[in-house]
Amino acid sequence: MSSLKLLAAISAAVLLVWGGGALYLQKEIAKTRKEYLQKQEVFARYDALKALWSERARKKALKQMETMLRMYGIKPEIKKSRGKKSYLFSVKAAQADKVLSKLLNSNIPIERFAAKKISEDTLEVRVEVLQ
Amino acid sequence: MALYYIRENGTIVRERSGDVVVVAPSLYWYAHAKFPTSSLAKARRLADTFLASRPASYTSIHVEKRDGGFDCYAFDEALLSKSIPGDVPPNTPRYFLQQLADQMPLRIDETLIADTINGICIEMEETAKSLPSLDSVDIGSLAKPFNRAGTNRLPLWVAVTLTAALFTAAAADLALRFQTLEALHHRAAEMNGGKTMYEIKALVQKYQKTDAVQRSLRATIKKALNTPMKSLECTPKKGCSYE
Repeated sequence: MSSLKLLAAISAAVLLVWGGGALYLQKEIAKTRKEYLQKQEVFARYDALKALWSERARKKALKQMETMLRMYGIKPEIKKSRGKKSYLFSVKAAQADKVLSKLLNSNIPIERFAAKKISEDTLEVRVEVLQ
Repeated sequence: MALYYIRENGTIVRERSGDVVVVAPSLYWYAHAKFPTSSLAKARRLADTFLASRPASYTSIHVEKRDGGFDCYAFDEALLSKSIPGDVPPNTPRYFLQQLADQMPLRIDETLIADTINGICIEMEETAKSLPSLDSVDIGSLAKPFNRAGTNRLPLWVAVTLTAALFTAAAADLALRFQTLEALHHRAAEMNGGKTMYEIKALVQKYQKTDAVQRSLRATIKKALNTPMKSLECTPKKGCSYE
């Protein structure tokens, strides 16, 4: 075989390997990129939900709620039982809207919520949360 | 033996390119045949199959159209190359003597003896002056059976450079693609942070459920609080009941 023929054969082989390899890698890259984007989406969702409902976030939310109640001069009666914690407190009608709105807008995991009118301007609230 | 015709001012010089080598009839087999086709490629295949009387070693076939039929030449390429003297430049065009048949009789230069080409070209003394010389043969109009390798040949160093460039380009391209793939794998693996995808999906499901339940409970509580009531009790499972 002449040198030129040999070089032509080598070039053809290189082109064949290049074409085949490029096609295979392109397919793999597209597949991996799709998987990566799906994974990224799941992780973004996980991070957003974790910031709200992870054990750590829940504990932080409970502390924030206790601080909020203290700020309004409310001293709740706290009871703990079987992984649950219940807060019993009375709130004046004037403060009720703000206190309950903050409580309901926080990310404390409410297991039970009870409110009872004990007088015209006082509301007794019982909130049971997961610990 | 091959007859080569390289002449300058009456003196034969063998190195000059642009001249021609005329292959003597003893080195090839010839037949004129009529095939039921006008395609040269089909005629070439038919010639290869049906012209069985050629010598067994004459495996190379050259076919060209003439007079409604086909001129078929068969030859042994290795024998031919061996028979052409080595000092003839490789890019000198080569022709079968039979190809010049239309332009015969020709006046052969006195330094070339007619019988070296088996007497097909005959020096005719009395008409020598009126006959065309081999110089006047319209070589360019003839098919070139052996000239492909000789003419417009790519220099070896250019071919090597091009092959090397192609190889480098292919290697670089594939390496870049592979790196991209590896980087994607690496980034995807790094994202996990010690948890498997299965665990992450399970946690997302759990948190989503909690989120949905808590949002629904809060919406119910807010709605109930806007209603005049004496007492209210809400749980995620039972919803709200109030008096």
